[in-house]
Amino acid sequence: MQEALIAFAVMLGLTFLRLPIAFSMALVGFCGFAYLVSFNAALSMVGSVAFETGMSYTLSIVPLFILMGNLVTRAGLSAELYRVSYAFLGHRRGGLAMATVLACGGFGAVCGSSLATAATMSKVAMPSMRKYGYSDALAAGSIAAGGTLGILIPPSVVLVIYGILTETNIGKLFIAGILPGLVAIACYLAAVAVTVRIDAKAGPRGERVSWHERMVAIGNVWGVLILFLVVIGGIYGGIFTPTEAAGIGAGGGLVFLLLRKGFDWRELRTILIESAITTGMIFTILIGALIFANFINMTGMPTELTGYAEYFRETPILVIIAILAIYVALGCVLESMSMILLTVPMFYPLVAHLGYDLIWFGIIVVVVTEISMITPPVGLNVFVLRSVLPDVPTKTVFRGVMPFIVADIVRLGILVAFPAISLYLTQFVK
Amino acid sequence: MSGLSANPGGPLLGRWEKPFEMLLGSATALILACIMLLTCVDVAGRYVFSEPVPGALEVTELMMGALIFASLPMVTLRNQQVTIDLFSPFIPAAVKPALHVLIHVASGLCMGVISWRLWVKAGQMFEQGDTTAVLQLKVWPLVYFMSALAAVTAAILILMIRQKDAAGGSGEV
Amino acid sequence: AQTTLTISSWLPPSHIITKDMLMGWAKEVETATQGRVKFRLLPKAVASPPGTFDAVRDGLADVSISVHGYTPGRFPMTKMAEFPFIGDSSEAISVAYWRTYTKHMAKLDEHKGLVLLGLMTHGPGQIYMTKQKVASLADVANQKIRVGGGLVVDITKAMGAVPLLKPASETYEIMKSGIADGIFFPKDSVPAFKLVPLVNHMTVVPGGLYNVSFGLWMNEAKFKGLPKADQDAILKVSGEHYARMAGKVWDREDAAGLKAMEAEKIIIRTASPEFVAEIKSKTDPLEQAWYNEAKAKGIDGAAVMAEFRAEIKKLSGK
Ligand code: NA
Ligand code: NA
Repeated sequence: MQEALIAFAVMLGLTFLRLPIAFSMALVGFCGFAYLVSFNAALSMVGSVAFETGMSYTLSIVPLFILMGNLVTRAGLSAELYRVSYAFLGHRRGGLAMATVLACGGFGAVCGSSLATAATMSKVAMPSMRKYGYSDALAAGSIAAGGTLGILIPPSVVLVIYGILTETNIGKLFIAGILPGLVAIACYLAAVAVTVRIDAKAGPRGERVSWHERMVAIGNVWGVLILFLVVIGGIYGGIFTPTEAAGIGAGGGLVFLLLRKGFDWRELRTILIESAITTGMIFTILIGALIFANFINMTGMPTELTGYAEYFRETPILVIIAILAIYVALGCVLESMSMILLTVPMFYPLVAHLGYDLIWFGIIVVVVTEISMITPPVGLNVFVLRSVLPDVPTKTVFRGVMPFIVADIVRLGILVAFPAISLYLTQFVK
Repeated sequence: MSGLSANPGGPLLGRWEKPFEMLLGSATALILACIMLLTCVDVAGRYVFSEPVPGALEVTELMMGALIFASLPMVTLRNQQVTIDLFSPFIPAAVKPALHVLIHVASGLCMGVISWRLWVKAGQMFEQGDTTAVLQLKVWPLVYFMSALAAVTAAILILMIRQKDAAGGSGEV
Repeated sequence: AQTTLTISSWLPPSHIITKDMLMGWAKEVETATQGRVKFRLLPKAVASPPGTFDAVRDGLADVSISVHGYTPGRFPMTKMAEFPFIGDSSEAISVAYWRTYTKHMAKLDEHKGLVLLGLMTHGPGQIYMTKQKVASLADVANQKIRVGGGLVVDITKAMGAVPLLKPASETYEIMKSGIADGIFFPKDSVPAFKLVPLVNHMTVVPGGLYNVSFGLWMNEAKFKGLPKADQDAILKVSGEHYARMAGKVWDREDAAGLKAMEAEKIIIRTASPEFVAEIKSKTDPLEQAWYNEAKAKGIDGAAVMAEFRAEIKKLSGK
């Protein structure tokens, strides 16, 4: 246990000195393994991890969902999603921010990444919110927070990684994300409503759209609907495995791109390369985290943690609350993917041992990860917005996400208190 | 977060950078497209012709190995390794140059060890005659390929020492 | 002096391979060495199932079990235990396998860098289908069958069916959704993977349609570092002793598995002599190919197989 905690501290220290997270984990994991087992065994372990992680069929789901997200992003589905949300909500106070949240949710249904959702939505939603005089804080905050829906509403790369780490059924995890995703949208809409009630100038009304135009707008989002139904419906109905669904989804994304933008070889090449680079980045972290996890496995920490948990047999919820507190704290300073890869292998045996459902825990982990993406000082979605909208100061974005963080915490409470919200739909998965 | 900024101070590999990116970029694009197509054809084959593609799983595995390692040099060249810049402002300017060197040496060392161990593994697989299950493809050539690309990544990390400190103390936060 | 050795298993602690075979063996070693050698089961496997061999050779863990067929091409001679119609009892097959393999194949040093402590096979593999009854070769033609690794892939292809090599963790989904039409499995595994409600037809092939070879091994340096007395004590509860113990466990679980399936609506039929002859005509070339492979290594494959089969018969007769 002691070795594990020291290693953890050293690892964090190295990342704070700006050593890439992947290499911090690999270096500390390697040294720890060499110390506990032997130098030669540690060397061999590095080779196996690199080989097995690189050549994994199950993990091919990751680049495929990333590719799908990038293809639908370039196909421009986001603009239509925003238009239809605007048509229904734009005339309300704060309606454009609400439309942003809704459109993010819709986009999240075809894109597995929060960053991609936030980046693409900022291009569509920000200009229109500026036009109507929205405060930068509310505008940017709603995009940054709405973007986090990308990893809760299926498909989701984070749920895929969680499923692989815990050997939980990825199809069920996806389906489990649907209702909590709707709860999240409701909470975010409430957060916007409260914000404009406090400060009416933050979100003025937009124009009312006629029912005729609303119907036209709805007719334009069939592409998103089809893709979602094929991918998630295919998993739900047992027509294909999640890995296969990712391939089909990417193929579907490609079809949409070709239908809308025509065949542009260079564009396609760029999308493929960008997806490959994101994949390479994630896999470097994955390799580092697995090396670190192999060391943790040797320290006996997981067994000891389970032993401590025995003291809380009567009140296991205390353990869950402690874990959530650790996640929120770590989420402030760590990047989300690294946080999951580091902590899930340590916590999930404990959670399972206490009798909790691992699918439910997966949803909870995703929700705390969503929080980590918008909490200062390290909030990836906020940084994405900053790079897309360089004139909005980071501080303003963080101020803008505060109401949404409150909404997140309320939602976390709801999902912890009512596991059925996450688990109800999974019983129907074929 | 770094990762979003391009390389300062011109291309690292000079006039070789463009052709290098062209080559690796095309390779990764092609491999990823093939993984996608193979998955689609496999599923379609199963439903339409009642015959999945033989060995689809293992070919996907081989292509994944190639994809991941072929993307690593580009991830590094574009400064896309995830780094926490949070505490940069608190690091004294005097130690920054030395830290810059140390970080890249440590990173290069990590990739170097990965490359070395993959090389050893490839040799063992050659000796032991490891093949895939259905198509009985030899695995060792691919593992040498993975090792070589890890070595290229390590070399790029070491070359990056010459570059100006990307964060330059300003940081994103 | 006391030594603690680490055990890695890619199967959960409750699975019979971990609980009864690995830890059962470990317990016997602890007793035989009067507590001088103890074991610690690692919370997680140190490597993937195919990587287990390398992991133990390189000392990531000290002891483990794995399937030879997970690394195709590396242990060609262990295919001898995976051919059809070799026997109905895992105990008899495993003991005969240990005797024959160590007698004839040890000199090839397939397990280089490891101390081979035991060999075993699971129970005879049978046919389970979701919809299609299987009473002849024509019935399995083009059916998609989920299989593990090893010779069973070739057997499936030879029978005209389509082998699906999907991860074991996906077994239930691909059967339920109809991605696979059936599965080749030992009897214990159908209930173990909760497949009973999905299976409608089972065909029992006398002597088994296929089998899977498992090895129990230990890191060489760790073994050599033990005092001679402890080495001897370990060897005493390994080898044939272990093959018998592991085989018995599998036979027991197979019987329980069959009972569980008989209690359900599964239609169980035994392959007719004609069907068996059909299968044999398709799989004989595989055995022939293996004879050639053995010949290249200086082994008389046909003679070894004959001896192996006679040994199984003798042991089953008891
Ligand atoms: Na999503
Ligand atoms: Na954060």
